[in-house]
Amino acid sequence: MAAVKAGESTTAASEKATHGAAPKSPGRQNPVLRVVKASDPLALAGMIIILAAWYVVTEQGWVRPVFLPAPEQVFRFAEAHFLESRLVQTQNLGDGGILENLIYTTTSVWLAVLLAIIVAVPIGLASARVQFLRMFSDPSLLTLGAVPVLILMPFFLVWFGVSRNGQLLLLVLVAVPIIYVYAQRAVTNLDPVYAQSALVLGVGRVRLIKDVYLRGTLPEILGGVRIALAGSWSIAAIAELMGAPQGMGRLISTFAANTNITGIFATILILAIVATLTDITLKAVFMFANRWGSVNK
Amino acid sequence: MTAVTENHKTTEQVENSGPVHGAELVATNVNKVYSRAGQKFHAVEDVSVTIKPGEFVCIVGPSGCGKSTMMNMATGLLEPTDGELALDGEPIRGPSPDRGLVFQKDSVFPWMKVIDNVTYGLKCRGVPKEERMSIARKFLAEVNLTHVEKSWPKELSGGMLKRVAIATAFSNAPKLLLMDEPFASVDYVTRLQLQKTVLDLWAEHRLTVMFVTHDVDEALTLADRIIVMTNGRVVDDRRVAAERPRRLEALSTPTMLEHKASMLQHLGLPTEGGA
Ligand SMILES: Nc1ncnc2c1ncn2[C@@H]1O[C@H](COP(=O)(O)OP(=O)(O)OP(=O)(O)O)[C@@H](O)[C@H]1O
Ligand SMILES: [Mg+2]
Repeated sequence: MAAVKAGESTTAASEKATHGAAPKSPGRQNPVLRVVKASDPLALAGMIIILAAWYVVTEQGWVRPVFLPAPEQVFRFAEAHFLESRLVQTQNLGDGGILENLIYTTTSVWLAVLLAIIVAVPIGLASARVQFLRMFSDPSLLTLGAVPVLILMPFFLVWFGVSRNGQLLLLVLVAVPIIYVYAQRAVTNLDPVYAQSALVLGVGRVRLIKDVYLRGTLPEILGGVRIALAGSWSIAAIAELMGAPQGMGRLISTFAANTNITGIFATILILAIVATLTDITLKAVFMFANRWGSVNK
Repeated sequence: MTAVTENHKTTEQVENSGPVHGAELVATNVNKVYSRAGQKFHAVEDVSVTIKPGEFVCIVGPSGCGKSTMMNMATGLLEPTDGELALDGEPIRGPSPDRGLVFQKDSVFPWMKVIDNVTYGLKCRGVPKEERMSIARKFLAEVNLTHVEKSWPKELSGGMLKRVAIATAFSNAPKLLLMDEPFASVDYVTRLQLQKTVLDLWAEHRLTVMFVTHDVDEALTLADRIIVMTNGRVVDDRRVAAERPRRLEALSTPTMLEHKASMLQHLGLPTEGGA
């Protein structure tokens, strides 16, 4: 009896309950807010602490300026040589300043990663489904990923001369295996039920690739792109050391030859800022692509 | 493309008596042999059944008896090792929107909002936006999900996701709707509601339904006909003639209890006590 009564009394309530609560819609986020969110406040705090430590250490004279220049000194140098720099011009590194070299390196890195995406994403996605392709792509690309490609740079210099092409090829060779592995793994992780469901609903080949395979794997692929990009800056700089018309790597090496410690610090600092900003932007893109939350839910 | 919309339109005004839009499914000596851990395993053995247009058939059987395998072959996602399945005389080769499936697993695309999931099949077939939205909204309302139309699937519960899958399948207006334990993850009250929803939609659209369940009572509540499977074989095939809706009392009439007892026997359970 009691059970029946309890049952009756809950029917009305459960009628509502079974509809499930409407989840709070997060509303449209504007892109600026996304970028702000993507810049990890903890990382920001860490950066400020490091800057403060740098300031204190030099201010107190615990380290001699020959080894570690003071922050203001570095900032002032960066500002003075950013747009227009005699120092840069006399070294034959273009007719501007640090900015021109920064643009050179940044272009190399972005262009290379873009080319790597174009090459690696289709092969990576397809290799997860087509065994015949994987038979070739896995051994070749995974070996490539294990090789320290920097040793190839001297050969590229012979082939391409002192131009951007050698660095681009090197950077592409570094980024391709990383993005390939991420794309392949993303498809492997994608439950086959989604493709089956799409097929049952009457999907065509193009939509299947676009709406299921690409959309379902985009966040993981972007995760791979972020990692490839993060590694590319230092490799770009090192490749430039070996031979490039200009670039941040060349700039560092000329400053080093002249024991201009402040110059080295300024260059590294600017490069680090651009790398960080790029990463924050990409992370914002990642968060947008991952609104539906498969990865890092 | 137009066929889909026509079906929706014509059935809107018609109740139970409307034209049957469902298709006939004929399975002839269907076999499925898997290789499992290096060994051959006969998951479906020599199944021959004819499901009539507009029939509501439940398939009951213990876990692992080959129910999902049958469903996947009927959709065309899986090929029989031997034998043939045909829909309205056309041999089934590969999936087609004629045959909808509510998967046992969660199959709602997590990267599309609820409404985009429900309209996806219609979009694939070029139904104009206005039209597919109104079709989808109608079915979302039928499964009580109007309020989450703009939500991401991750924001829904398991039972709500199942209802999205059901709305998606119905929106696509299949001639044969296969439902693989659609209510397994749904609470008792919602389950009763959804049973009613499915029966209403079935009555309205007059499609053919094949509905897999573990639950003998659920089968008795829903079906015109119940097929019992064990070990990949059809061991029992019976008609259930009772009037609908069948409420709890309807399940305890002598005929129903007899159905139940004999089905449980086929399933290899002791018959005393009934439940
Ligand atoms: N891809 C596969 N490879 C090998 N064996 C399989 C495969 N799929 C299913 N089987 C086997 O076939 C049998 C039937 O599986 P099926 O999924 O059809 O069962 P089911 O009746 O739907 O069970 P449940 O009620 O648990 O969903 C099981 O014993 C299972 O192990
Ligand atoms: Mg199953």
